[in-house]
Amino acid sequence: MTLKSDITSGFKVPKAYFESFDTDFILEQTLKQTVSETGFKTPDTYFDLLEIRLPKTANARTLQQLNKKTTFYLSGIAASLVLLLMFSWPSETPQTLTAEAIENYLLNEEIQSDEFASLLTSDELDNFNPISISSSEIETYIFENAALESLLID
Amino acid sequence: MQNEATLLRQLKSDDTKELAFKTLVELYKERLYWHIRKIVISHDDSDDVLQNTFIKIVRNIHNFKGDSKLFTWMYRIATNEAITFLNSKARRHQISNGILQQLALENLEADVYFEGDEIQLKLQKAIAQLPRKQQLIFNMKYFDAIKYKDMSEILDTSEGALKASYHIAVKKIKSYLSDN
Repeated sequence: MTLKSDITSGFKVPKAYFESFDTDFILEQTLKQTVSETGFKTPDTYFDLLEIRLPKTANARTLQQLNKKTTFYLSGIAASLVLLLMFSWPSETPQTLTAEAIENYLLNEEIQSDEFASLLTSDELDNFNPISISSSEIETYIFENAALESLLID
Repeated sequence: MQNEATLLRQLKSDDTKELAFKTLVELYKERLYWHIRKIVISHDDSDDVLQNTFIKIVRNIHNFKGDSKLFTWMYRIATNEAITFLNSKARRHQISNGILQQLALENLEADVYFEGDEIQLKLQKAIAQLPRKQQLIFNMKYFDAIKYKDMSEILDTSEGALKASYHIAVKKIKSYLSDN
């Protein structure tokens, strides 16, 4: 008994697989012959000395939530400051500070949540709720301002 | 190399998580850094994003169910952190993401942590011409040789779409380099 000479394995590849594989490979290789590295570098001992600065308290989640919430609080604090200034500032002083100006100032200072947190005890952090904000206000704020991409992985 | 399942178990246990986290950082700090660096360009920004990435990883490790590889899950977090960082920075400076990237490239020429020659600088400019997602795909495949299957998990995009996008990206970059 002899084997049939036209027997095949039965395996298939997608249509035009080898043609496109060759094209992509050659295209990539010719580009790599021109340039293949980014040119970026780091400080000499960066990776040797790199330390991840985890939040100091055991309750890391609270700190990170604080980071997300900071903008809420800053907005609220800014608004409160403006109201306070409006009612208590002497009338001869020009009232040029707006909520937006103060909010921008606080945001541009790049104050980190750790810096806020370092001023508070763990108990205070757990109960940190200086401003009462309604659910609908929070929802509106999130839709308009929050970085939803980062929230998706939470 | 330590088994991923073992490392994951140690990360989720209170008794071993601290040491396991150090191991995790040692294993992945360079890969994640370079991935982030190619997105945000500057070293200082990359350092900030890397810190945030690892903090987010440790904070969310209990939610990781093992549906994907640990490293693709971490790459996904790093990618999201880098993009969120850029969006926030652009918003803070009240400019578009495109302008922000142009400024980053202009600063690159004087950056002490960039030692690229003219063609490498041109390559970065060429990459900047691509849509954001195509930039990610190009960087991951061209420089890091990440498999399409893994990239598919990181970017939540089909392998076919990734291959097509990469093919187009390489052609656009070749064209940019020969025209400029």
